[in-house]
Amino acid sequence: MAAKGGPSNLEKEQMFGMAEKEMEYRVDLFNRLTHACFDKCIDKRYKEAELNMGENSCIDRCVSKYWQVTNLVGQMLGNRPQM
Amino acid sequence: MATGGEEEDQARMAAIADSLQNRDAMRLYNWVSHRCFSDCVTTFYRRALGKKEEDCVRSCVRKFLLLSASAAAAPSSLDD
Repeated sequence: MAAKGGPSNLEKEQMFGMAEKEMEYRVDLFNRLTHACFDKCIDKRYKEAELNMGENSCIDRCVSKYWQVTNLVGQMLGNRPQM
Repeated sequence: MATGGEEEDQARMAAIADSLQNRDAMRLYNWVSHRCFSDCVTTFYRRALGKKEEDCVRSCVRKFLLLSASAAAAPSSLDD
C-alpha cells in the first residue's frame, strides 16, 4: 500500500527483463545473419584462408538483403512484439 | 488481514507470462526472417532485394501465419 513515487519493483523488474530480451534478440539476429550469409556466400571447399573478392561482395549484399528481409518480416508480423 | 500477497503474486505471474510471450515473439520473428531469407534469396548480384524475392518473402510470411493459425486452432478441435 505504498504511495507510488516512481517505478515499483515489479515495473523495474519488467524493464530489466525487456532490456534483456532485446539484447537476446539482437544476438540471435546477428548469429542467424552470420549463419545465413556464410551458407550463401562462402565456398565450402575452403581453398584459401582469406575472403576473396567475390565472397566479400557477396557478403556485403547478403547482409544488406538480410536486413531488408528482417524489416519486411517485422512489418508483416506486426512490427516489434509489443509490450 | 490483506497482505497484498495474492494480488502481487498475480501481477508477477502476469508479468512473467507477458515477458515469456515477448521472448517467444522475438525468437519467432528471427526464425521466420531467417527461414524466408534462406528459401527466397538465392542470388547476390545486387544489394537491393528484387521484386520476386520480396514477393517470395511476403508469401512465405503469409503462409507461416496461416500455418500458425491452423496449428493454434487444432488442439481445441481435438478436444472431445
